[in-house]
Amino acid sequence: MFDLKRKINNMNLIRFRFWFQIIAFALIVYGGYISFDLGDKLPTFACVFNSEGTGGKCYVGMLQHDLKQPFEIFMGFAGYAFLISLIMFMVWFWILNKSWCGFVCPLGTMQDWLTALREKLKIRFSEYSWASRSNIKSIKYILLILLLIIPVMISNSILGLPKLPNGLSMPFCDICPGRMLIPAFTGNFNQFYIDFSSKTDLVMTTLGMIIVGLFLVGSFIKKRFFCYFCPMSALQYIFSKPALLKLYKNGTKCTKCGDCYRACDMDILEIADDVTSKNLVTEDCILCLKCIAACPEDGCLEANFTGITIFESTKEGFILRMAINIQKESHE
Amino acid sequence: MKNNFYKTISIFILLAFLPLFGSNTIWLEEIKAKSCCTTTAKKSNAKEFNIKKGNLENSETVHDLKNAKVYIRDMNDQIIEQNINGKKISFTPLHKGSYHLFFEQKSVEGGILHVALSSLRVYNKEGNITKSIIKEIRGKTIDSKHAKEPLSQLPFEVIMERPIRKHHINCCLYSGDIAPFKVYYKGELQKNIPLKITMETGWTNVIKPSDDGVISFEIPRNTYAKKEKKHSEKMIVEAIYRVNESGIHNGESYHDIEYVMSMPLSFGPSPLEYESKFLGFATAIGVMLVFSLGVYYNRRKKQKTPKEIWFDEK
Repeated sequence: MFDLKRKINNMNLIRFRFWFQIIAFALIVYGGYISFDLGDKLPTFACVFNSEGTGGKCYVGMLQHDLKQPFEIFMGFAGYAFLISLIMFMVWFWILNKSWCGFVCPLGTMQDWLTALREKLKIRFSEYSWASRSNIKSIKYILLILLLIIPVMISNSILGLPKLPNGLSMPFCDICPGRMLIPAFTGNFNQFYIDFSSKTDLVMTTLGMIIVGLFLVGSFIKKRFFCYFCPMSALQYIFSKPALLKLYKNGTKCTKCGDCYRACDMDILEIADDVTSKNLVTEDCILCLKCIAACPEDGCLEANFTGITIFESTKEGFILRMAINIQKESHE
Repeated sequence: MKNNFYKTISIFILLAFLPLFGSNTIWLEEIKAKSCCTTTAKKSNAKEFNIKKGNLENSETVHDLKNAKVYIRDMNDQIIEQNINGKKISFTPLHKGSYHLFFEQKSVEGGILHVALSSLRVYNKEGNITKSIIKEIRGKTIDSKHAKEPLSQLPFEVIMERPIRKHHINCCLYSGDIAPFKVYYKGELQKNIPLKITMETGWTNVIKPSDDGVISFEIPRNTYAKKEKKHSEKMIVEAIYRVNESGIHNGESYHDIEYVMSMPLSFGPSPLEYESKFLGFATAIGVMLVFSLGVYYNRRKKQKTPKEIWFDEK
């Protein structure tokens, strides 16, 4: 038992995550071909527009669909269906917490692949300026509020305002890069289009194309570029407190060396700075566990599932991983 | 060569008799609640259907539904047989999802037993909440719109397989999609029964099955339709099969049985009529180029060594 724990703590997390992400990507993008289906309440971008291959569907799409109901219908069956969907989403989410982003999300995996490509090409990465961080953080909440309000306003007149056009029924899906890029992995490029049928569709589909372009270049130069704006991440954070998987920090063991911050793809300063909080799953955290792998202190950071430590920082693990990195760099 | 010649001749004969072919066509049509009355009248999930006869342009409602039966298949493959009382079919679906209705009516005319059959897929948006919880939990794995096994209660059936879509939306049929069908007689796939397709606009065609028994055709574009995304057009696919079999039905004897199976479908205009893929790609690539150049020049600017400042000591 102790040996297994030691092996886990000493593992090469980068390699484990790489293969885990590939398997998750294959199941979510191609699972439909082998009748694999995790339902349509997944807390990750499994795209409904990837009709043939998808092994599950994203809850954000379902949420927009559920909310596009007249009030009188929403107060009946549609309201119950919405609650069931929301509970299912929370159950899925609570199992892995924000690890859905760090280990499962196909858009996150694509961004990690683009980062790996940039590293191979030896192009340096970019960072958001500290001055703009708080503004960037708020974008995902603005997107979340819009994607909740717009579908409601299609079927209902709120505060006497006119109803919105039906072309806005899936406002986030229209601009989500996953709609274009996930089906593209099955050879389906049909989502790359501009719709001229109405002004709303024209604006939304053009915006979608612009965001795909920004996503591809942005993710190439900035690690996890899109995750800062992701409304799914904002929605997840609302429900993250009771989740089963947690990232714990023992502040008394922290030397504030900053290794965890440097390893973090999301540049979360609190991981190195905060020595008072125990639970360090912040709004931007993707629970990739890279901070634990980078920490040189025994038991300072740990991934905890239902009270059981499943992966923690150790001196030995840190040294072994450093040795792997040095070996890799000398080969290059 | 000789086989092909006979096939061509038989198609010509079929086309020559096209106006006669299908005169007994009946099909199911859902009675939609009027938008004015939905909030007050539609308190229950009950769905109602008329039986239509004639052609799509000038159809009449069939009121004589003697000896008619309806089979309803839900998404769990459970089949309910329902006798028809009155002039229309009505049923209340319990679950949220796709239901298939199968209509059968037998009558003897001129010594021929006419078996009029029709099927229709209906999607129920609402349902019994307790029943729905299980379905919501296990996802959509059991709900399939297409390619079910032939219904054992029907001797003759046309089944639509999953269409081959050229466009982006997967819920509906669009012009340009390739719709594949199979015809079954007593559960056996038939490889020589043609399918007649009739569009609302009057376009008709008879399609032969391929060697593997699949009858597929590309849904034609309606050049004169309004260029509206929401425009919907109806079509009916229909197969006829006559068997030399004698018997007695309701005291009347017959020497032949003629099966006529129809399936009404709706389709929309091809998204290609209002979409531009070229502009989509061009926009994405354009943004990538502009953004990349912006980053490149921004980084180059930052790399420049600062200019030395010489103070004029005078």
